[in-house]
Amino acid sequence: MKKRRFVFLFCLLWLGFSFAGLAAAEPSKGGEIVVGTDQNTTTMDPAMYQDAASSQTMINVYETLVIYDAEYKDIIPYLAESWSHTDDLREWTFRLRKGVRFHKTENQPGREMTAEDVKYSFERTLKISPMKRLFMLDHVEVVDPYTAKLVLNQPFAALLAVLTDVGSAVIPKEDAEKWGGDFSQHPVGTGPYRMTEWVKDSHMTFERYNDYWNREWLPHPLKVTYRYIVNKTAMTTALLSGQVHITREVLDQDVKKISDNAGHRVVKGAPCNVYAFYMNATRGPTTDPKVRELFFRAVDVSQIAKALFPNGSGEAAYGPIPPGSWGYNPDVRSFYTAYDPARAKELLAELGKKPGELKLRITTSEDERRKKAAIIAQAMLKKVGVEVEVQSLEWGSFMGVASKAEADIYAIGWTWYPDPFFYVYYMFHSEKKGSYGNGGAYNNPEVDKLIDLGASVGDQQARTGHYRKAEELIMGDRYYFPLYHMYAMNGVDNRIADFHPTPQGSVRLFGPDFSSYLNPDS
Amino acid sequence: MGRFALKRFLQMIPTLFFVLLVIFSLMKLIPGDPALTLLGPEASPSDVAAFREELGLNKPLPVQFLTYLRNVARGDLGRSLIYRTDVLTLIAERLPTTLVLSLCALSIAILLGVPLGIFASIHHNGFWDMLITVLALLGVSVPIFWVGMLLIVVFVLNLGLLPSVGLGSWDKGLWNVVSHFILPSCALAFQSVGTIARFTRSSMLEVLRQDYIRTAHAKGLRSRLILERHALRNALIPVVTVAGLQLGHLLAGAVLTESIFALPGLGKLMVDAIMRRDFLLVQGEVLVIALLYLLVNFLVDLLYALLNPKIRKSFGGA
Repeated sequence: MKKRRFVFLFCLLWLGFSFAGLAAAEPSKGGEIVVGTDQNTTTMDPAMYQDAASSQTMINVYETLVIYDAEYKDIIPYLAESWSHTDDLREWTFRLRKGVRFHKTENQPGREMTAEDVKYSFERTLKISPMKRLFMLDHVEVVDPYTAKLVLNQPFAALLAVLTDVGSAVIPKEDAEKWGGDFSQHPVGTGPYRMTEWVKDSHMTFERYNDYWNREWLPHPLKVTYRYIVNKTAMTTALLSGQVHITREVLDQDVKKISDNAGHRVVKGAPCNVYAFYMNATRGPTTDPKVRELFFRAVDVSQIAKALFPNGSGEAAYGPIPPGSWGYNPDVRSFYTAYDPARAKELLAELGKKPGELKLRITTSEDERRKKAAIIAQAMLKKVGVEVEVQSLEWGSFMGVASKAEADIYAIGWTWYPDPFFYVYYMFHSEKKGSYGNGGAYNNPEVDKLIDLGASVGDQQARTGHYRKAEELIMGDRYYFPLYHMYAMNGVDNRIADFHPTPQGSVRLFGPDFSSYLNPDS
Repeated sequence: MGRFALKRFLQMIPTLFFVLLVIFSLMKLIPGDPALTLLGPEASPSDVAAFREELGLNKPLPVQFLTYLRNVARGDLGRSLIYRTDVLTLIAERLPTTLVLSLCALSIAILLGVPLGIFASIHHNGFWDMLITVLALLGVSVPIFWVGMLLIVVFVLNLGLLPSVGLGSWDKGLWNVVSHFILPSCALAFQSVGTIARFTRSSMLEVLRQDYIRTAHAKGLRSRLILERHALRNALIPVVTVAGLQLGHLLAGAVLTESIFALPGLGKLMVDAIMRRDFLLVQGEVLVIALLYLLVNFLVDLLYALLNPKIRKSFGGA
């Protein structure tokens, strides 16, 4: 009898211990993460893509020579372990990692990646990319199987930033040639995931590739699904009801709703974008410097930002380089022409115009925020006696009008890498006249020179100096009226750990130095 | 009957031609250049010119239209500019979602609307009749997105019973797939329930006033038998037409529903295509939707002719 009781007690204790052991076990780091995205992946072919939304799904399958670290501060080695460049910044040599393998397919046995693949991938992009992403590249030389030399057609200091882009990913020739134009449907790279399902306009599923070449970098989630949800309210509902774990964007009015909810948080990333009114430099009233100064004096940008972002998902901008870029100048306001409505009225008199005689037209796309900004500016200008017509066109028409210098003033939005080059060059260099970035045909030879200088020296501090000087000239010319920077905002389920926002807002779940995971117990 | 069917069928061809002509002209008339939209802000003028050349956008409009017609006749709707795949493939991928959604909504509308209408007509001018009429009016006048949001708040956020975004996956089981369709179908059916109920009611009242119903009553037949045998069959003939027309209506309403519930149907594809000047895709979609609409109408007419001999006679066939 006693013996029996002892056995029973022993069993009870043993059971208790095993449960205690269960409770203390490591949280499960596998599982499935569901990302809600308001923008659709249009292609899975790195060379062909033109939109940030496609890049966030591609980074699961493809890898690049270099990548930004988790905080988006430094560029760190990825497929390349080291690199060097000549003093004139025209030749860049990359040492590749050994043992990097492509996914196994019917076209190749999961073979090792070599410098030949780098050459093939980059030259393919050079040839077919509609974005001309590698416009600075002349050709690639294969020095030996693990060394590739990129020969440029101009000195180009921002090359590494371009190479972090998944558009510059390394792909296997066999698969790309086999599928041709349909490579997008059969993406093959060296990354830790493979695409297993793509239901167009609905969702995409990526499953972890367990033969991935680098065990140390293997991310936690076994499965990552991207659900495409256009309607922002539906997106917030899906997040709060647990149908998605991370959203790509948060509307300003939903910030409170999500952060007040016990199971969720809003994660903010430093903005890497700038929105502005850009005035025409070749024709119309804005060619008169007094009209441009009047605009700056009459429109209070801080009020516009307050009206658009009452919950703080954006802030007023005072220059073209955003805070998320290392080229951002904290003193940028010293170049800025401050709001002063009394001076604006004087300027109107100096122009010899009575109230109501000066007429301007602001052209925007159908983007709600930009329309709103234009309407607020319209009211402010009306107060000082300037009549403004706000014209909003759908994207196709808007692009035509904006890039051909047919608008008095157009609303431009610009999001790119953290390197300042991508803001100043595309929007202010005279080479970019006739494109959306410099649609008003702004042309200042001094600014051109500084931008070219900024791209032709390797030292970041020296580059920053050139760009700041350029920024000062640009703001002094007053063609570019900065409006706001928007924070990258993600709505995140609290069970998601180790999540890092990107400045573009697109969702990145892993890198060589981190991996997000879903912790079901927290 | 055969001749009637053939005649009705042949009538569809000029309609389709006209639809194609109108949509082709519209796509040419709206401002915005597909080349600029697609090649992005960085395209050089020479790229744009090459692109226009490749798509034949430099040829005179009548030539472009005739080329398009010839290709359509061969079953080639062209390649989408955004997705870089065949338009036909894209439509085929999304058509099932929109069709399933519309047909589910139609079934719900008929299964609820017809009994409600009959019930109201039996209790003519009574409390139930009033209540159902008020509800039907409410149903017709409430916008889809509002109903959709309401359903989401109740069944997703408060009760946590059903999913509200996207399609399910077969590998997660049948229920996963079915459950994703429940809320969108209900939201889409909401308006049609009211329409069908009101129509059934008035059609029933019309029949119940007829002489032969009175005769049946005089013969001492039980009310229930009169309803089932004599009244219903005749009263439901016009309801068939309305239900058919409702399907067209639902196809249109599916666009909004797909947006609220993030379903990958034709509606979403269409909006994207228009926004991005993917003119071949827009033309292809309009063609397919018009064809569907015409087919539904054709089938409704056939059904109507089967149910009502007078119609067949008027076509001179038998």
